[in-house]
Amino acid sequence: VRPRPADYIQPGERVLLQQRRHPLSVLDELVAIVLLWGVLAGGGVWLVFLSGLRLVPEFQTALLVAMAVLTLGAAWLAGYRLLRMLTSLYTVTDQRVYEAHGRFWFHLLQTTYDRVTDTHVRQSPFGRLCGFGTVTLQTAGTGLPLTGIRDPLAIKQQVEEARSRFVASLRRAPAPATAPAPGRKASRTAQLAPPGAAVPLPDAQVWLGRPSVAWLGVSLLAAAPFLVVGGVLLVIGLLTLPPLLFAGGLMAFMGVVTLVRILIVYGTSRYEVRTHGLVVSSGWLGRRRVETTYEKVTDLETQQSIPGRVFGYGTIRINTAGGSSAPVAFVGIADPETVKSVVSQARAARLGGA
Amino acid sequence: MRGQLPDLRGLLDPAGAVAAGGIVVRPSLLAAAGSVLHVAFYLALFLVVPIALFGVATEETPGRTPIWLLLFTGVWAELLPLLVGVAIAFVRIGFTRYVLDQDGIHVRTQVLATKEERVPWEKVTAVLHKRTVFDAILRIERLHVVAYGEAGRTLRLVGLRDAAPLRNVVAARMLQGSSMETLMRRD
Repeated sequence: VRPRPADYIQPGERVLLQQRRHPLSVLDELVAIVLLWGVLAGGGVWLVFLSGLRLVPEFQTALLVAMAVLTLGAAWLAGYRLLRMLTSLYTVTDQRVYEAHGRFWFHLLQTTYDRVTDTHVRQSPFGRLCGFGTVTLQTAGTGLPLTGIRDPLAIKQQVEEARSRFVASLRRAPAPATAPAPGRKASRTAQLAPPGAAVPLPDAQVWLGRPSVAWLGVSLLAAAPFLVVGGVLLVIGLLTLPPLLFAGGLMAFMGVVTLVRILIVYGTSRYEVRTHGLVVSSGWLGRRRVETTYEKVTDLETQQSIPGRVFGYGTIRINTAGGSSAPVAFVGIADPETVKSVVSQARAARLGGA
Repeated sequence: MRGQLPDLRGLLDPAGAVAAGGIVVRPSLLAAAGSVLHVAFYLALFLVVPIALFGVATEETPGRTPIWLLLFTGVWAELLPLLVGVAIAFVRIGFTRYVLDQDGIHVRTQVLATKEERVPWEKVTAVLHKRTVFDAILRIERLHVVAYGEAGRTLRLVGLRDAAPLRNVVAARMLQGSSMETLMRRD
């Protein structure tokens, strides 16, 4: 089973990259399907054969039928995911990006670079180990996911470079090919981009930051009560009241999970203000990277809690025209107002250059 | 198909659109059959097949609900909504036209009331060319045109015998509409 030939590429387009999906990227989906099927079908088998309960015969039959249907559904879903992986083909050209899969059934999603608002890169721990991940090009209408792509950070870089070249070609373009409809406002393109006027600025780092130590301390303090109360309940449960063991264990577990999450966010989050846009990267075993360009930034929002105002840290949320709200956020940075003005200046320099 | 399209605003009756040189596409009625087939498949999978299996696997006991009654109820529970769905789907598809002109894409359905959806070319953000399993059986395809906007409007052009030429028109229009203005758009 191979992908359908890429006969959908438009005339005059130059293919920069063509890649099939990594075979191991479907493994987590298959494992999830098998696990879910195992739990549900195993529960049914236990109930009918092993529980020792005296079930009404009709109920037993109904359970067995449900398990048969469940098995059929799981096999169908697993086969579909497998075929989808085998027939997936991602194509990056100098004008747009295509995501295709299927042969008997078929799915082809495409968009041009000027419609892309921000780029997301995600890698699970298994994906990092095997060298694949997901690059999602978010537009204002939908996301174009390149799932299970090899070396996602390098691919993201290639897509960004292709996008920069495409945008530079738009700056040089004297006017859009589409004439304005009667009664419509004329395009601002000619005013924005006089022929040959714009030379793209090189992409350079303007500011690099991470969550502040004050944010770390306050967040740890906020999570500590869970641990303390959970620990106390555990001790009481062990000594006198066994029913409290479960509640204490649950609270202590939640406290530990929260502490670990805070430490991971503090240790791995990096926020970058660049001349071309903003970058947020995070993740310890897995990896997440979100990039957006200033052209697609709609507004900046600063949030400071009471401890944040006392200790001088806060969060900047950057909204874009993409689907999800505030996909880019600088969490717990020191002196957020200064950083916000850095972002605003870099944005003004970029858009002024345009 | 890739030449300049005329401005057909205010001229959306199909005959007028064709006369003015636009592209008018009439969806295949098989699209209605496809949606019915889709619903029937899942109803059968989750309703009729389990009831039938249950009926076959259970011995009849005096005083309990007879198996034939269960089967009869299950089959009619599927058939009745299907018959209503068939009628609605065929009428809706039969009176729908897709029109591509200089301004954008229009989907117009006119039975007694008129419903028209329109997406201008410059608002198109992505194009999805799709053929489901049921579409493949019926030899039809569909095109989803995704547009800007908070609501995420998507025009669904179903029942196309060959969606590739229309997809190419939309793709070419997207590229022609690319400009700094599109790039800077923040709606």
